[in-house]
Amino acid sequence: MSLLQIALYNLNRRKSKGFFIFTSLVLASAAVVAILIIISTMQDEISEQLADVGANIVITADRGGLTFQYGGITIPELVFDSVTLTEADLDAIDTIPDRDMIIAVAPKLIGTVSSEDQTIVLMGVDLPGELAVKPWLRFNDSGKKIDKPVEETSYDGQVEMMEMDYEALILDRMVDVPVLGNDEAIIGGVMAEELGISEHDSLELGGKEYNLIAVFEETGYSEDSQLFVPLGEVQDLLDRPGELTMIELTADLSKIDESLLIAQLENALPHAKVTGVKQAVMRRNELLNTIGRFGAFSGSLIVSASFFTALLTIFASVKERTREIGIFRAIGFRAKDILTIIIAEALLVGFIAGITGYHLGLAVAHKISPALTGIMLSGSWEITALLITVVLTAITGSLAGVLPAIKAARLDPAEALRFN
Amino acid sequence: MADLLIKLEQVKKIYKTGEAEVEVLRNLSLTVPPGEAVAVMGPSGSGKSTLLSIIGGLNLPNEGKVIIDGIDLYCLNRERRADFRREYLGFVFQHFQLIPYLTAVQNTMLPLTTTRYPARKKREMAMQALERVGMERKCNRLPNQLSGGEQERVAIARAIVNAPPLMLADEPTGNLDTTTAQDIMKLFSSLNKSGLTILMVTHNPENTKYMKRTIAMQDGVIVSDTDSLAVVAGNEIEFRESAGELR
Repeated sequence: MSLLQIALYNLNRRKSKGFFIFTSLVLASAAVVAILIIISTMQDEISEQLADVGANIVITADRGGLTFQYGGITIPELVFDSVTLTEADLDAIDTIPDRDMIIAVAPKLIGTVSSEDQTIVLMGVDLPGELAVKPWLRFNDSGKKIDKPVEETSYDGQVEMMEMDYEALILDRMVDVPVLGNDEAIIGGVMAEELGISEHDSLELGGKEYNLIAVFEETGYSEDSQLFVPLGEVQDLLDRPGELTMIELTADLSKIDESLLIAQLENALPHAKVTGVKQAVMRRNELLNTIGRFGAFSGSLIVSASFFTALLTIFASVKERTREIGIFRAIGFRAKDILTIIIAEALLVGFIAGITGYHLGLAVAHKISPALTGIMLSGSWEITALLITVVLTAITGSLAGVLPAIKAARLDPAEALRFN
Repeated sequence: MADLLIKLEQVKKIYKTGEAEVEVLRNLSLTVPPGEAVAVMGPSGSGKSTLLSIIGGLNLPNEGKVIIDGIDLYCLNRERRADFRREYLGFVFQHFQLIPYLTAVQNTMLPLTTTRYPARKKREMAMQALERVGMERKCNRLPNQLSGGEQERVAIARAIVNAPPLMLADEPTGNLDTTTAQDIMKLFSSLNKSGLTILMVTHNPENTKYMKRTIAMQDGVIVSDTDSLAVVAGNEIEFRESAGELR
């Protein structure tokens, strides 16, 4: 006969009260598990999407002097018209240890040309790479496919990543990525409007006709007033062969620390300035934190409700057992023995409720997540998560037992024996 | 063991009910040597149950000293008094007070729960106690599967399982028929003969013949302290009349 056995026998006798505490703890742990699984999945999903959205590292020439802002990044060389980045730097990027973490590379040469008394900002780009780092760019009349062949590959993995970006960000719409021919261009929405031209029109630049194969939808960004031409063409037009103004990179920052990647790039490109687009990261973190805080708040409300239910039930149980506790005390049980019995009961119930709650929460999350969030859960049974749930539920149960147990332990045995 | 197992000196106990104060024990002194069997009689409110609970370390007196086997009981803190009860005392409560969800042997083992004996030894000791009260065959029954007399026997087994020097009993035959009550009193007598000191509160003068000494209480004081045989033989007419009236 031990204190634990007494606790077990009592639970067996008072099944309804035990079941009531068990149910409240199961529901709480299941709800918290389900909420956390769904939020965690949402966070993973958002993190994955945000990691793919836009460039999060920009490489520019490391020069002082006058500057201008491009997408929140300082570009020094435009004013001086002196470029120190070259296409050879792209090869250097390929040499960094964590090259696999870079999912899109977009080299570009920026410059201006005149056309029919208008100054046009030229963006010499590699189109698949450019679209990969700027997934918000959409073609006007996007439902219509552009009758162009899909480029096989440009840089390792880029085409594959393009498909992923489009899936995530343009939802179900499938858009083929066109190859920009040497006499073709894509124009920003605002510039097209200012010049009074549209798709299938042509534009003369430096004595060469360029056919506009598409117009980008207006985004409110600088791209609205730019003309996108193949990188090689702009290098020829500006007479800057092989040169680049900047290189934008999209890296999967959910898998690698940004500062580590920047350090590797700086090492590979000592003459360049490598900048992390911290704002995007901060926004992402803020969003994830908000979701996490909401989950923590909801979870704590549920756990509190369950805690008080268990607390009141155990209090009622202790009152019912006043005389029994008096007997225990009279025959020599110490206050800590009474505490042990009552907390052991709560702990046992909490332990079983934790196991049940985890599995119920997992099942519920898998069942309701697609309906609530449109996300299919990838998470599955995990021993660590189970252990954490069991420990926390058992702690909640036993904490709910502490106050009633202290009350029981303080009972005057003589009074308790007279209790009816 | 000390010369006197129980020594009460000028014990006073006052209960407060709102503004009112009731003096339940009034400077009561009492000595009981080892091996004694004492019946305490008196009407309701005379202070006999309070006396028992004070000797049992359950009820703090307002004044006076309670010394059991040389230990000043109320110099001990609550927890040490609990240890004391476990080691020195066996309680037989009114209405048996068995734990309803534990079997006879489990109830008997209760005082051993927090001791360091191995589980097998505890069970062995409990079975021996049940044998002494003739309940070994029904050791696995729950209290509600036992008669009143049988429950009383289990309660007695629980009181003696840790071989205490002193057993305190509060109305042990109060809920039993005459025949069963006599059996229980014979058991008490037998236990006393084996060396157990017994202090029993009872309303029934018939029970006193199984005790060596009878104390009568009224209004918190001892009004009579005599040899039980004299009480039963009718030599103490005054006492018997008193006891009869008090009943």
